[in-house]
Amino acid sequence: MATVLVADDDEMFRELVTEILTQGGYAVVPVEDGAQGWEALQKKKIDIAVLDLNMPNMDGLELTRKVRDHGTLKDLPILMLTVRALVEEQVSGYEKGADDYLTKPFDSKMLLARVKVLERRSRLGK
Amino acid sequence: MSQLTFWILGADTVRLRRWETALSREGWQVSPQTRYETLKAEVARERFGIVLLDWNVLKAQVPEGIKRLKAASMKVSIILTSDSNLDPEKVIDALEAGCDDHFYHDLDDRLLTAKLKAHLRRMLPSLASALDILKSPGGEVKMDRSRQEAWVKGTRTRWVPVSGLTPTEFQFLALFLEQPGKALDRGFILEMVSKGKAIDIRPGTVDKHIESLRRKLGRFGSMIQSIYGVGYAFREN
Repeated sequence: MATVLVADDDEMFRELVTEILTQGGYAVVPVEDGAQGWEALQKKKIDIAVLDLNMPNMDGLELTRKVRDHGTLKDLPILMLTVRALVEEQVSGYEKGADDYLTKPFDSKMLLARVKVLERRSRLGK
Repeated sequence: MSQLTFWILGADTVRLRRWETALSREGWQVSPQTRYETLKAEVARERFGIVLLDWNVLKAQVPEGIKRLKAASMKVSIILTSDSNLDPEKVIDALEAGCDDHFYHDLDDRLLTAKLKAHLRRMLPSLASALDILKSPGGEVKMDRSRQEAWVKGTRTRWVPVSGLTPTEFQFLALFLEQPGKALDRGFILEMVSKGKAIDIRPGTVDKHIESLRRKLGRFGSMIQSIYGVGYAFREN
């Protein structure tokens, strides 16, 4: 069973994403911000990360940049969640290392399908 | 350049041409297609690349079409494209059939190339990195397009960062490194740098950008040579 890190400071969304992924057969590690996410990534075996763009302490982009610069974590598949959909922000997110974007609010089946795709793409890339 | 191919299967020839231009600008090998079977034959032959698959070509047959492409080559990444009114359930069906991503036809060209680079990075990290790194033939100047950083050769073969480049100057340098030795006229430079982007550059200001770029490149600035009556060319001394 693959483990997904879910980092979102919005409790409602965090619980919603956790429930969707749990029902989809994933183990979930929920955290409230990027700093907690970074800590979890170093302590636990995480296979995929679902990150909110805007979070206190460390936002999703900064966490993505740290992951991509890290020797062993750099290949972690990252799905970014955002309420904003500005082209410049999304381009910046991809350039910093995000693999995919999903705009809130999202369809639960779409979220699950996107996470499964990231898991599959990650396996093929190895 | 890599042998990786970007296939674009679509029914709208205007869009095909637009995307072909956007992808070619990145230095990628692009193959526009209007027939699925021709595309599948090319995928089976070349085996490695990214397919942009327009939902309008196969419609209800999209999931089957994706499976057949994946059967032809597992080393191909498939991205479904569609009009914005496509039922999300159809997108989910395609993703579950083996499709790797989806976007709508009105996607901004900058976002299109950023997305494709993300796919390249996942498919083959070293190749994606190689596609982002541009180096002059003599190895004196190099740049990383995704990180927006440039360097020149310093003493004892160490690379020295070029500081203070504006986004426009960065694009000028990329254009020169993509086509070293070739004389590029001002109109072409202007078109390539401003196409599809919110950059306001007038013909008269090309010279000012070049002058500023030369200054920031230090002793390597003289490699951007003025070609009388044409424009500029990047030539190593």
